[in-house]
Amino acid sequence: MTAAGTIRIRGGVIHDPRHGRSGQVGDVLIKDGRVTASLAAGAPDFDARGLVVMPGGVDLHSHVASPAVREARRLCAAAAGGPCLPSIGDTGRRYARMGYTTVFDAAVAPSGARAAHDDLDAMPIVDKGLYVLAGNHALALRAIGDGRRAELRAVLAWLVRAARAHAVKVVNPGGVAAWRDGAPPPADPAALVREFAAAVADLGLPHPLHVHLPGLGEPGNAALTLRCLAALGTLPAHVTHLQFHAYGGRTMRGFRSRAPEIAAWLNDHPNLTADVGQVVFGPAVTLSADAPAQDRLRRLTGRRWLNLDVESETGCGVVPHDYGARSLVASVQWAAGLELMLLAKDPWRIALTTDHPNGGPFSAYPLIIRLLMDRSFRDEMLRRAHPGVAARTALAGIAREYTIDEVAIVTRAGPARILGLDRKGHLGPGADGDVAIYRHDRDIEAMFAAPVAVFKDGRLVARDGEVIDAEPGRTLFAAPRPAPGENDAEARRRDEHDAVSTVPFADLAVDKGALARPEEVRAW
Amino acid sequence: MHASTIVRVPFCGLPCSPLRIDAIGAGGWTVAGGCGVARAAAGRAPDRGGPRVGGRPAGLDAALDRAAAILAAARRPHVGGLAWSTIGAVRRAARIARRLGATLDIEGGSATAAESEAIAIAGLASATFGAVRARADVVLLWRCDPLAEHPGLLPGRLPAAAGGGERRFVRLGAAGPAEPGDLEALAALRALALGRAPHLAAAPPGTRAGGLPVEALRDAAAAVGATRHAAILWDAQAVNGPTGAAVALALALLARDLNDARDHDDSRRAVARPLGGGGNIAGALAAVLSEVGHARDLGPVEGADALLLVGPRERGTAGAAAATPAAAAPAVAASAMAAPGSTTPAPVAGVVVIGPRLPEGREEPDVFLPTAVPGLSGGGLWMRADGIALPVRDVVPRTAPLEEEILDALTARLPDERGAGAPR
Repeated sequence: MTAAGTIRIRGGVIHDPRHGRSGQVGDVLIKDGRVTASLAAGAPDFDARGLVVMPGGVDLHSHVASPAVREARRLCAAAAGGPCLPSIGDTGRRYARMGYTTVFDAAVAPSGARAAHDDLDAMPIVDKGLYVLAGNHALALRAIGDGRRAELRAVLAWLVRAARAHAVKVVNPGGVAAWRDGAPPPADPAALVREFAAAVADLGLPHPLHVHLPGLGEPGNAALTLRCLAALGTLPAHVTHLQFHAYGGRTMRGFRSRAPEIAAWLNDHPNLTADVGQVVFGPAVTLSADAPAQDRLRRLTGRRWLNLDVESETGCGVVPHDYGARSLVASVQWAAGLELMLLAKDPWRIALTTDHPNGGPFSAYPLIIRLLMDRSFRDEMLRRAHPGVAARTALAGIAREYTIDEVAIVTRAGPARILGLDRKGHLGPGADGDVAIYRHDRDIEAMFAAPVAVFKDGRLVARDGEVIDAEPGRTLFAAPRPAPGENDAEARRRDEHDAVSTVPFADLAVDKGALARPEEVRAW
Repeated sequence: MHASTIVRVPFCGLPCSPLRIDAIGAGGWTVAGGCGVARAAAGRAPDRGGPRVGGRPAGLDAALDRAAAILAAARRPHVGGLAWSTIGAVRRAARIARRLGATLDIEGGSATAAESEAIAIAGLASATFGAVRARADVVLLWRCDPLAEHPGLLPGRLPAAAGGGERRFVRLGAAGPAEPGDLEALAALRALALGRAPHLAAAPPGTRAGGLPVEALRDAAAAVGATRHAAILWDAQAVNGPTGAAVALALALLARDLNDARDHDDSRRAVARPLGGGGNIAGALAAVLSEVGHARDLGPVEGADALLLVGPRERGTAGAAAATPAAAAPAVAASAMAAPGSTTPAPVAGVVVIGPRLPEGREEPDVFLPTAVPGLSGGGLWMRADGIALPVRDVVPRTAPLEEEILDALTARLPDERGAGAPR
């Protein structure tokens, strides 16, 4: 059982966008780990006068615990242990030191869920969860191919329950399986995206379909992105690392940003949310279930490549990478991410991520926040980028600077709402006592890199950038809404599974009791 | 416990046949089914006694206190064993190593080390066992034969989804240890598969390359070079010894180059799959990578002045820990325990052993803390060689604490982490 704290955070400058608090001075009261409206006199007190008080940060798309991370540590031995591939203990500590208190691993194969949960259980401080990969699962694709929508729903419900997942993730649906099998890619990937989105919408999960679209990283992929988004109609979906899907040009020579068009689509379609997948100049480690995209990348860059076909579930590719500021492509990617963040009108529907460690390490968030809040710094960085970027992106002409409230939205309030986590991302009564306290600083990056204090469930866990309490957090997982008859075909499903997997059907399911601190999130 | 229990325990690191465990009274059991590795692992009885200090019975607290004192006083402690422990136990041991500033090693992990080195140099195009089973139409078995005891691992016919035809197996080299000519043979195989060895392609019958007949290499090269889905498998023994990393690299490069040679033809693939060394070596490595972040600190026992060995195996019987019967990997950490006549490189001031039993033929350690047997009388998490973690469950009565419980109690007695940063 996680220890919970009681504390009065007194006199802080509160930024709690969900409750419309924008810099008002006040107290945040936490009793037994939850924010409360009142607190008995004599409760412990933290003097936050003159300090900025926000809910703890929420990272809705990161890669910290999946088997792919393990493989990356083997392939990228020099980077292992560093910012892109920290140990599981350092991962939790680094997030907490930055004021983040919740993180989700965005891509875990069903057969990898048990190992991923074991890793997540070992991660200190933060609450966590995972999304289960389903977009290339043999049983799901068979159900779609046969037109058995109820079976698709049942397969997804089974996978979510078996993996103790918070959401369903699809990665280049159908495309990875086709590549793995040596078959042509799906003729109509947009239709597959729609099928998955519809089935997930019917599951009643807190988070809609989490979709990694086809065409990742390819010149001209914006057209396919827009086709897939159009196919969704009004179905809810979260489109992840949108920056990597927002390119124009027919070849790498013509590589340019089409982020403004993608942002415009997002603005006009309230059924959609997104995270950016911001690129950070410097070394990175790309790891993805999109094995064909990783194969393309390694062919393009000539770098080492680790590929792992995972049963009949998904793929996995790892390629080390470097986003050099003098590279035209990297510069366009860097600018496209910022364009998306700055042109998205509703900050509640776009979240700040680097798709850690694909675009760069999550520890770069303070730098990105500075880029969003400070146009002069952004322009200075733009000047250091490849000179061709000016003509291939619209970034130079964007004057917008994020307010601190908007930063609070894209880093905590918004991601929490997108994830359907009612107790995260705000400081109203009933919220988890996860609070980050920052000192105003003209150096915005420094301000967000090292909070004065971080509270998790009301306990002081970090002070002035140093972790002082590393007790593990909870594992959050969703419960799909049961549907009549969904278990009728379980025997057939078991047979189909055992025919394509060497993991016994019964061993696939992660018992709730196997998790150290499980917490079910129910949205129905 | 039921009189008879059927379990699937990946003691060999592979998808294994079920084991049948029958209770025979008084806490004993017999084992049937599975493979030879699994039967050997499951059939050995745990130590029946309690904790010992200096060979004499001691209370649990006294033994833990003495163990903590030995480790805390050490200047160059080493933590080893780990290959037959659950992932949870290895995590705890890794944290103890960090706390002590100890070196860390995985017993019998030389195969994994060879693979890791090859991966870091050249990458690896690989697949889990299920993916190999589902697609590989040609399987090249390099100095191994997992099929002998795992007939269900790769059926002779492909699944219907992959065409349903005959699956072809190509065996190269006798199952057993690496031989000096292996690198030359693999270089020849690679050159033949890529069409870069006209002199070998035209070599007369009887010609050998690296000790293998060129005809066999030609046949293997033609098979893996022409097929849609090739899988290249090898086990711990094949990459054991001084040239192990180079052999693993050569096998990884073969798969890589087959894929590269098929540029723009995505309908053809080659994967390489190390079968590991059995036990939970893959899980131990995963736990160490997770806890430490990298494998750079994995190091041998030499120079250590105190040892903490978790679940060590008997020296010379580590063959039971390998994925295939002949694949005997040497015990690394256990070799530092001063067996009579051994050449231990440096005196060890103290040895603490935590595990189901004391390795036979070894001197009594300073402290022995008996535990349950992972996968039999203790549950937890185990990992196959392809990285898929599976639960192991307690199926026989437990008469001793779990390794995890002992390690937690030991941790509570140790001083805080020495200095900052990662373990030495």
